[in-house]
Amino acid sequence: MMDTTAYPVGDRLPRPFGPGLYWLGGCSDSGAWPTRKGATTHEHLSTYLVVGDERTLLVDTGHFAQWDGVRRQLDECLGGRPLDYVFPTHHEIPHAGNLGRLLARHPGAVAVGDTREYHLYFPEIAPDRLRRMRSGDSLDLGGTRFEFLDPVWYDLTGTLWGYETRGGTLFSADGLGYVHDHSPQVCGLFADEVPDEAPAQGLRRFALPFVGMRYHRTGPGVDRYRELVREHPVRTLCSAHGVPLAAGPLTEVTARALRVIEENQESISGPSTLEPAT
Amino acid sequence: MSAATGGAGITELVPGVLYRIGATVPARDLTWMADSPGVHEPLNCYLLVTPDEAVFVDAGPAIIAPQVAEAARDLVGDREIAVFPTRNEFDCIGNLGLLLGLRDDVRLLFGGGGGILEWIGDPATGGRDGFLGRREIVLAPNGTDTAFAGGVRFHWFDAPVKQMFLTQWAYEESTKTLFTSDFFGWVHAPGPDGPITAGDPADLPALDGLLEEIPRRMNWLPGATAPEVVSALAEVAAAHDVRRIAPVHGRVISGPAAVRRAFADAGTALAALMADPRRDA
Repeated sequence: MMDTTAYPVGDRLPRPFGPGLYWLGGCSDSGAWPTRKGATTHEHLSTYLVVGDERTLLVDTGHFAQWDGVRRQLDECLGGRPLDYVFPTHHEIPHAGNLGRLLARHPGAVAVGDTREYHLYFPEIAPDRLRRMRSGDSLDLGGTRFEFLDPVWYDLTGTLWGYETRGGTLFSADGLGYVHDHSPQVCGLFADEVPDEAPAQGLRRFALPFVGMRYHRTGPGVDRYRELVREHPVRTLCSAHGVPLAAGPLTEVTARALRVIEENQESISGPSTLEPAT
Repeated sequence: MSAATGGAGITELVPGVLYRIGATVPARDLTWMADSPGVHEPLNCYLLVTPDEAVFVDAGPAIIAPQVAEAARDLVGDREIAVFPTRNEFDCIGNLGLLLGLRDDVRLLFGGGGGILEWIGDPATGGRDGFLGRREIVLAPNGTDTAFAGGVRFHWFDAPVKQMFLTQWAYEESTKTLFTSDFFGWVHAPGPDGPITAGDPADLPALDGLLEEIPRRMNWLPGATAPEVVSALAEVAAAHDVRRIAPVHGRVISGPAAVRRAFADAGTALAALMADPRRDA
């Protein structure tokens, strides 16, 4: 672990979390930002690999600064299989920063998702390697399908979520992530592995990186989320800013996060002045 | 100019002082506007030069790297170089590595938003080591200003209307230019050759166009209860003598009449969008 970096990649990842499912990536450390010396707050920058019987798909590219680590993790998980699809959930650095590098390193791969604008940011990518998907589209990976979904909570316009059918795995982009303390070092641990002495079990504040959230009654979004998971039963939730959550932690953490949202508690843009929806 | 882009690479906005750098691209496959055959979208960053300094406001998306390199080659000379990104997103920092790589003494005017130096797209460094510790950071927090030679002074402040947390706007006194990142980007070019500036209020789109386009970028606005956003935008107009609005995409809005109309339209559109009940969070 490189202590001075704002984007550490620990040695616990990659980790499998289900059949053909791997957790990759690292964290951001706001304590290393130029304006915030000394803090120890981390936020996961997670990337996920889905390995079907016939095709492979990477959800988010990893942060630009974590290329060396993500590349190594990906090679380890692929085990010689080709990478077929790269799905950046939206065009921000932690989610799409390595798209050009990935497609250069994996010449058979294509980018999938809402691929608008990527021709401006990665002009080196041939247009036929940007395959636009819309909500309801899906890809057959062999033994499992990957479905593209409209997000419940948008970050940038162009955000899509994803659902993998074999494992019942929902990939929620920026949605339902959280930040964690870095003392003790809990990066790369599943929620049920975090030691009891870790502050708030390692989960400090839910990351709600949506500027406009404070200006809305947020109950309807929670309703939409509950409707989505009725239609797509979720056994594992994978936020780009969280860890794979399954079983007890899935129930507990999701319930807490939804309560924070439903009650219009504090988001990244500050506390809402609106009363919760009745 | 690449086959994928058009338009003059460098447009002189204030003779010898302020330049728009960029290209135009077809209005196709952009999230912030509908596909519009024949219409083109200017992609912009800006360079302000003093006798001693060259200040880039944003670095543009990667597709305009040739134009940014041309500007650096032809306009910077031996001036000290500083770069100010309004946001940490691809359309603003795509050529930040190119600019910081010009010389070892290039400074980053940094207002917030992460360990930015580590993820600048510099192919030569491979990523992780980036420019951390290799380039001077000059903090440019909201509510402060930074003076340069020749009466040039930038005021840095929080963007009143934004999609991404930690978006900054800047106002430069000597040129009376307001740099607005991803807002005010709704004046498009009728063709690949521009024009790049919109100096007549008649060049600006009707209110319906704003109501359709603004939420494509600021997707939380419809139905929001945010009167402080409307008032913050009005306060920006009242507090500064703005003669030119310089966004990262769309035409530069110039001249007092066009600027007044742009602010008025924006305020009206924001209020109308917030009254729109179609969406809640």
